[in-house]
Amino acid sequence: MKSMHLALRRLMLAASMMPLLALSAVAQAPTPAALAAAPALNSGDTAWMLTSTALVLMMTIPGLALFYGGMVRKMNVLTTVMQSFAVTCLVTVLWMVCTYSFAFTTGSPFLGGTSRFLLQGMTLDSVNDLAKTIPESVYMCFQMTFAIITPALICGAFADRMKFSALLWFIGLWLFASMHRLLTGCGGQTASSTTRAYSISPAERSCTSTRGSPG
Amino acid sequence: MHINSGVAGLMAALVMGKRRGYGTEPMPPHNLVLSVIGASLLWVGWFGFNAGSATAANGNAGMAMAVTQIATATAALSWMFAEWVVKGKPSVLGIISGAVAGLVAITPASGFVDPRGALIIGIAVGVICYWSTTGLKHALGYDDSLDTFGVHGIGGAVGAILTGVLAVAWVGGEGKSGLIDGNPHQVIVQLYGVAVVVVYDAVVSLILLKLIDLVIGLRPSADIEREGLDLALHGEAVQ
Repeated sequence: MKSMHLALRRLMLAASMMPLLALSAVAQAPTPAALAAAPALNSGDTAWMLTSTALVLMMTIPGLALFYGGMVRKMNVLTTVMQSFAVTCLVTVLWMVCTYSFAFTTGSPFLGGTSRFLLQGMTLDSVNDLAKTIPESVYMCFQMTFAIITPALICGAFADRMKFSALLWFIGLWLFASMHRLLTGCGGQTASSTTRAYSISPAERSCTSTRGSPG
Repeated sequence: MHINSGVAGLMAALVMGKRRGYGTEPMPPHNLVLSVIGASLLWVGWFGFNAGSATAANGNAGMAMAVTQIATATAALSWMFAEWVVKGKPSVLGIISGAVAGLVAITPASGFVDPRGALIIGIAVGVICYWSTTGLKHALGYDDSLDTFGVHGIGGAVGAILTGVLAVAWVGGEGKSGLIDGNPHQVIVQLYGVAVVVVYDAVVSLILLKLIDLVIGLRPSADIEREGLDLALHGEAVQ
């Protein structure tokens, strides 16, 4: 009896909220002009790219961490798995702060764009010109997972003998200096379609596609 | 991208020098089961890596997935048999290293080669990377602890160059053909692409490593290295 009373009260509360909800829905509904300008997102593409992003992140943690961790001596296993994990975190933050903007927006030929610093301007329906059928947030995260595993792979070469502090500095600086320059400074402006190297890795993707400012 | 990592790794191994005791005391993997789990997760995750690079759920993604699976399995077998012939035993470390080499090599090629091309890439990279992590590494004397350069650097280069040979237009699209599809010039383009990445990355990594070494130092002390980094650097250890 008591629970029924409670349910009734909830129902009444919900009913009283309905006009309010409807009002807010009207307020947020896009105008016809905005609908026409909105890019045509494809739910199938988006679903697959969300899945792919998770899969690529899984390659680094726990995939690469375990792969490398198992191969070192027991006294260095925690250092090794920590390297993969810390690189994941460090690159994510750097990517959010500036490297995504440098690598995937238009700006100077050497530095790339600064329009997406701190992901400012990335909205629910913005897209990057390199992938127009998925939300920019998904594309940004997908490319982020690539930026994570690339430096994480390097850790295998100096396993057992790198200071952790030196590792963080090296990975952070390397992300800027090496990966970012390859992403932006690889001659995309001058190379014609017949002289480009074939590759679909993100580093070369920006060479093989027209670079443009994200929507 | 893998050439990036591989070359950076090689430079790091060269700048930092060998692990203390390398070559005089054995340094076997402490738990290969972890490595098998890790390699398996890498394999599965790689479908996102290659089939996701089409940024669409379409036929390109499907074909990328197919060639990824084929090249990986082929390279694992190729490495395993190479080791079996040379050393007399097929090892667990060998078959998982072969699989990772196959994944690395098919990455630049996925989206451009057909399944037959993937088979050829798998066979080639398994044998070549087996050689690069044994013969080449010992001949040159660097200590690439977990074979980042031997697998990712060499494997990535093999894949990139073979893409120039095996690319076919019906997979990659109009104008994206390689040697076997009547465009021998692409092999030169791929070689040039690999060379640019190698040189650029080697220089950048060398500068950064030297800089960090000067400011804070790259290696822990000899004592720390001998007793293990876990306890000294992180205050924890696996018992």
